[in-house]
Amino acid sequence: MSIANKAQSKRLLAVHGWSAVILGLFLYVVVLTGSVAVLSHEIGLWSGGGHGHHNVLEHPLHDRIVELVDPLDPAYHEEVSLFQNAAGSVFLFPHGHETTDEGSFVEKGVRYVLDPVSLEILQREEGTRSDFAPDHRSALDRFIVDLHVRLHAPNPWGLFATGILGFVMLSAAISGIILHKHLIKDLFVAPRLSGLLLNRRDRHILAGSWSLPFSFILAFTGAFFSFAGTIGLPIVAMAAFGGDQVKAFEAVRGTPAIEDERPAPIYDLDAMLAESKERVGSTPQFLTISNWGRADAKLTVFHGPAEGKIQGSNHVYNAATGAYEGVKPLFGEKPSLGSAVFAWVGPLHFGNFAGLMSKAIWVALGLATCYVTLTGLQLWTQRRHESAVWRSMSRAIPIVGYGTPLGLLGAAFAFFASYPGPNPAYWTAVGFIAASIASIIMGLTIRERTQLSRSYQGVLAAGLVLLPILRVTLAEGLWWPQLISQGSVIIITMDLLMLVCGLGCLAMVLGITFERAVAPRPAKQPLMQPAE
Amino acid sequence: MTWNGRLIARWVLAGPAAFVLAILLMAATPFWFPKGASNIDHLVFAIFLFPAYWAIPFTFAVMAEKLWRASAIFLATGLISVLMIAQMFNQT
Amino acid sequence: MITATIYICATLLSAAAIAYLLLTDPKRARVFKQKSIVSLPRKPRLAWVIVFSPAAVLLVAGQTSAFLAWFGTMTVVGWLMAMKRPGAGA
Repeated sequence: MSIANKAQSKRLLAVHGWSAVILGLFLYVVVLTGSVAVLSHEIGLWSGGGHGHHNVLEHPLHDRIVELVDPLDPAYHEEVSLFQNAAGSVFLFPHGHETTDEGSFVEKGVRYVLDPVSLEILQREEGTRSDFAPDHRSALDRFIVDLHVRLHAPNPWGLFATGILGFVMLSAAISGIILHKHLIKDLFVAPRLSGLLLNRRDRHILAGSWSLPFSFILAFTGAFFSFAGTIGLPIVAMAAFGGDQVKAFEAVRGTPAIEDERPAPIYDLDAMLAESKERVGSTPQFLTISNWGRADAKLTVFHGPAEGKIQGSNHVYNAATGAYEGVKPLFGEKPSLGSAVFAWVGPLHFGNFAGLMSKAIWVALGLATCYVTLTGLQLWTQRRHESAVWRSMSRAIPIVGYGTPLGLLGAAFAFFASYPGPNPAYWTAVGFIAASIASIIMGLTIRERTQLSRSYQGVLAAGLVLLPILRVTLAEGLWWPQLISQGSVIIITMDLLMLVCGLGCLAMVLGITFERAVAPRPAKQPLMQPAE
Repeated sequence: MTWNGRLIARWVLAGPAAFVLAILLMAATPFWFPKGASNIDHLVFAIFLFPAYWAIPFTFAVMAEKLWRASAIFLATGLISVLMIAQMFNQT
Repeated sequence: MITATIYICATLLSAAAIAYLLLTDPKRARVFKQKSIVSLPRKPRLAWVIVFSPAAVLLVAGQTSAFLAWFGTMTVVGWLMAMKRPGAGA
């Protein structure tokens, strides 16, 4: 039964189709890079070559942190955060919360980049988060994440763009549900081969129907993440806190009611971390200390999800006395519905709640959404196949469809080639752009479609197989025997993933595919009149 | 209303009007949503519901048969939200 | 390990029910002119209950991680199973 009449269906189809035509390829780039970004931690570890396996939170660090933080401006003692990225770099960031002249909420302080073993200062910068140079070792995974989150456009425009794309995906999911009258009945109908148009329609509808729940979830949570800081926080701050974003942020995060500004030295951090590790049964992932040097200082230690759960836990200690104060919810000081609901948003979007197992599933979900987007565009252009304009525009589908993964491959190649040097972040971006331009040139010069697809697949196959070799030879990465002795299973898994994907692309070049393709019908020829 | 007038009205409703309404609904949420045990639910849900605040008016604007009724609903909802937000200025 | 085991069991159960729905789907049989080798009783409601039964069990047992993993897997596995035409090779 349909809930839309003919006129409504026509409007919904126009919205569904035209939003995809105008923005669908951008959406594809965001979703594909998002699928890859699910593995950003693993990519950081892998591109770091295996040298970053030393977990700083498992070793003594109290004396060093006190030595670095105590002499700083007291304004930077409002919050001290410590975390280690996947590539192994350790970040210590004592900072304060401020509002800029334009009314934006910023964190301003000193950021140290420390060696994970010796805790020696590798870099020291003062300013706001957006001022800090990216970590060289993490250039590749940061590039992929930033491409997904904001298309590398400056804030807030990049976030607005990805937020709008989230809305496009949301409206496509909603209009898709309403338009598809026989959603349940068609769930088990495989794509038919009786015609190219019917085949394209069936492929799009089947993939779209099965991935509907997650398309909806990913669109909703993605749009939320993009708009929360750029529009959400300023609007709520304006409405409920007279424009004070710092007040709004601290109200949501939760600040203890009792303040005690008397000076007090920080209790033994190593002892508190050891206690937390024993209490929770896992190594902490990062920590923050609020009100450093005061009697009301608090240490909050974040642990990953326990077995079977999806959200991690924040454990709070009195940082002046070392006393354990309990678990703090994500927002506020007490458990609440808002905190409970928000705790689901991250795991639902990032898929990082059960290690590699959940991440692999989320990568597959992202790729399924990419398939829905591309098949939808193929369907649209196939329906208008008689028009030369639409036939030309359909060429953009393989150019972007294959060009984006090729661009990412180019970024990885450039990263490994430049990594021991001073500016891998710059060269990673150059690599992406160069590979993307090369893909566009290929797409415009190779006219025959099957040959074009096979060429793209061949380049992808070669590139993916070469990546693990480049990791070891160019970027001084560790090879498998050394990684096995360290217990670095993830890097070996990533190498194998590249090899399997490369072989998969090679299989496609050789014509071995999961689904049979329907040969495109040539454009209509003029009717031949029989000779009189 | 001419066909072009209807089309323009629908574009305005589904485009800028839906977005502005979503922002107004988000700004008004802290004034009616229960604060919860930790006094933050009304703030968190205001931001969390923003995609829904946009999707519902947008879909309604696309599907609406009677555009005058859709416009009236948009205006009324927007006005109620503005009145709720104006409370803040009265209270301060 | 417990989460992974529970997730695999839940996925296999639901996948089996989806396979049953595939084999007995009348539209799929009509479209591909399929003649069943094995004749199965058609009970779609029961099959759908079995498909979704792990959801209730996992949520009640507090296994939210396994639930989310199962939910994500079923959308992809169901799609891939439905993509294969009956009796067709690659």
